[in-house]
Amino acid sequence: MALDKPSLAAKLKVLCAEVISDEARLSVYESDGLTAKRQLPGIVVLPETIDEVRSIARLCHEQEVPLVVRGAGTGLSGGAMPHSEGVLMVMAKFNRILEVDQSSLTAVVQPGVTNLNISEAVSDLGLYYAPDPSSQIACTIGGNVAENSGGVHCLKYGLTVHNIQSLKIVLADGEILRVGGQSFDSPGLDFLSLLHGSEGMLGVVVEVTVKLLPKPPAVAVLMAAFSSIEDAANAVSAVIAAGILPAGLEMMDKLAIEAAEAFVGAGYPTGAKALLLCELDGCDEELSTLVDEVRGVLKKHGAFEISVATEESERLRLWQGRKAAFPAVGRLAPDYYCMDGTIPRRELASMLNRISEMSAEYNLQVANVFHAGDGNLHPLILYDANDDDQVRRAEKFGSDILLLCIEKGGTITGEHGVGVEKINEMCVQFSDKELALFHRIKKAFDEKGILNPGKGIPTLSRCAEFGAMHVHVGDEKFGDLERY
Amino acid sequence: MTNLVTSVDQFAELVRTAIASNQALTICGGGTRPFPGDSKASIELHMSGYAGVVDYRPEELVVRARSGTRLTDLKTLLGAEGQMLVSDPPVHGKTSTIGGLIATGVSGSRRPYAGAIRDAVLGVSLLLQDATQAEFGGQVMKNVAGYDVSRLVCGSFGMLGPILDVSLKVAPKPEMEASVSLECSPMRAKEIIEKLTRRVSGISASCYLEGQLRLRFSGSETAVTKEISGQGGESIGNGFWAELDNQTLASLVATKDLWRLSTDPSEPFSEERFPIADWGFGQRWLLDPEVNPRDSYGGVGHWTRVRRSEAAFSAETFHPLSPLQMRLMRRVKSAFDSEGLFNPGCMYPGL
Repeated sequence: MALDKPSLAAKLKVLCAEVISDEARLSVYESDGLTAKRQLPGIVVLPETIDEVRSIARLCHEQEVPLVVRGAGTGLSGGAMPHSEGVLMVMAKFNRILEVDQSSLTAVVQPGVTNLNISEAVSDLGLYYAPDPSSQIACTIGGNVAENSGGVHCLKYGLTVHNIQSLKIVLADGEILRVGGQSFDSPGLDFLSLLHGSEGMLGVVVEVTVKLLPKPPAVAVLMAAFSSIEDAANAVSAVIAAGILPAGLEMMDKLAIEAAEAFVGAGYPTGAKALLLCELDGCDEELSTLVDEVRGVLKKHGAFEISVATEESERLRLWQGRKAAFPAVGRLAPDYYCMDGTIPRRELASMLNRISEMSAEYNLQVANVFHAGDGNLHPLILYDANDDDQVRRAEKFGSDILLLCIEKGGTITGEHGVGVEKINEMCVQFSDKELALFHRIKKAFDEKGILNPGKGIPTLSRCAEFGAMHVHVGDEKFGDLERY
Repeated sequence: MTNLVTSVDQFAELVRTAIASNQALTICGGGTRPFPGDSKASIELHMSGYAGVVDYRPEELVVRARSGTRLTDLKTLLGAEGQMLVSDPPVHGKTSTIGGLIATGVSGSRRPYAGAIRDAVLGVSLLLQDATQAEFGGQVMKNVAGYDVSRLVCGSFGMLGPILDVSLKVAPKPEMEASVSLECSPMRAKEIIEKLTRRVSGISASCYLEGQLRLRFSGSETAVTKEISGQGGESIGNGFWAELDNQTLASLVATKDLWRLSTDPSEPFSEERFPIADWGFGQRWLLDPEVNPRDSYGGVGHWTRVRRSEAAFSAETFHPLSPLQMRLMRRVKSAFDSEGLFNPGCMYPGL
């Protein structure tokens, strides 16, 4: 249904001070971090209060207009890609930390507060908020809830869902739902879990109570260099099997190491085929024993060079290469496509080898920088977006990686979400009956289907079409048409 | 009608029979925690025959087990590999099952310090209302494909369908655990706990009863030894925590009508009212009240009637919800179970 923009914009202006409907300003919001998928929104609104959010939702609900919510737009799966005939609600003005409670170790924050801001605001109290997605300097806590974001530290400290105490949600019809509370559990079904990772399709997050943790008194980072991917992958499993739970356990392959080293000079051994960064934390008494133990395991599995950093500046230097790895790899080619599958740890070596074979088959370079401890891969496929054939090959390569993740007993997305990007692969990971149940859950919360339509869960007819396309690889008709 | 089921086909057959004969299905685990449901005629679905560990690889920190698997068996299996279930889940009897644990979503004494059993759920297989099997989540640590049905099922008391199997993240056992008991006022006990949670201290359990604060510490030998000697007080055995979690402490065994208050730990506390408080005062136990505490207690939190006596007053098991919450629960229930087949009324009447 075509949107009567002037009429809707006029109605929205009554409800909310900032309404954008001219094309030049709308273009700012045409994509999130997945820039390959672009769409001008119908209208953009930037509400400032929960009441404004409620009335906007009510209006959209009444007029059956799609409502897409956006945090900072750093998401990598197109979850916040606008709808051409809908309203894009930007939560940027919800940027205040409302309360920090030192006794319950919680903070009440608005959804537009950035992830890093929370940790910075409580840092002087010796506290922090544990989940740390790589975009933490920009991404918002509301977006983190919508995607159930992870990060380097979730191996030990859990995902967003494990670190949120309660939420205030505006439902599609404008009603306010509170989930969770100040106690350790709540009566009724666990909607707190259900809302995490629901990609803005079940409700709008308007307030978040996060759990805070005391900063560990002692931290060490081990860097270990390996002459093969297999050795490094086996070392990852061996560390976990030894009963050690590192705060972070990250892997980089040769291409990523070289790119990072050339970019920031973190002191990585460029002759290595694989590098592990292992962060350990705890109290002073136990840390040195732990470091020795991990050093022993890494050595046993073939690490030819191990260095340990305990001073903060040294640790930051080691992490710097990892944190700059994406932009560093970005310098190797005009564009890169970041994938996000998870597999059981034991499959790491065979998976990485297969990716390297596929890289040769597709004639596209790939760098791997990822959360090895969680088995969460981030292959970065290098390509040139101005070359249609490379674009097509990159997308196919990415899709093949995701399908391989399913085959290995894993999942098509560990932390970036499905959005519009992985909607086809959902048809492979889930049966029609499972997808139908997802649609019924969606309907239970949002009967008219106005919240973020077309994202996250594919329609069954789309899956039928994808199944057919899948069979006829290479001769897909109308390949540039959007299909939901 | 009672049915011990050992295969998915048999489950499916019973679901079809229930639909055809307009009966409900009452899903039972080991039968150690009975919760009464609506009085609709029903077929009993005993999950305890559908047992066994499907997959366990210690180095992956993941176990996948059929719902009828006994908790004691699972704990033994994990223990042999130096691992354990997250949160010290209670074992109410030797027939208690993992499916029952997930359906009730109950956590033990480690809950405030190491997360709830729900936090450890990675995936479930469910039997849907059309008698087919569906899988949600999986066996990997991070997974955001589709809605998080597996954690939603945790604590749903069977209302969304029978759990066929569950995949859980497990935890390495700490190198050492030790417990102490300190004589102090509740006020002082709260201060001690708050100080311990304000830093990395290794605290892994806390309970206030009989004028004493009991604490457990977990971690490396050096760290635990240091914490314990810093606390003073008397050393006690770690066995206390299982007695608390499994409700085998003498006072709890003797209780006929047992109520649990889950509340903000900072909520004012009265020893006279609550003989036992654990979870850093976030979980408080009321033994044999004379009137419904939901009416008599003015503070914050939600009550669960964990055990009921016939003679006592009538009251629902779970705390009343807002009309909006009930409406959403009803709609989600119907998304899974439009015919009202599974455990009707077990959680809330009419649901």
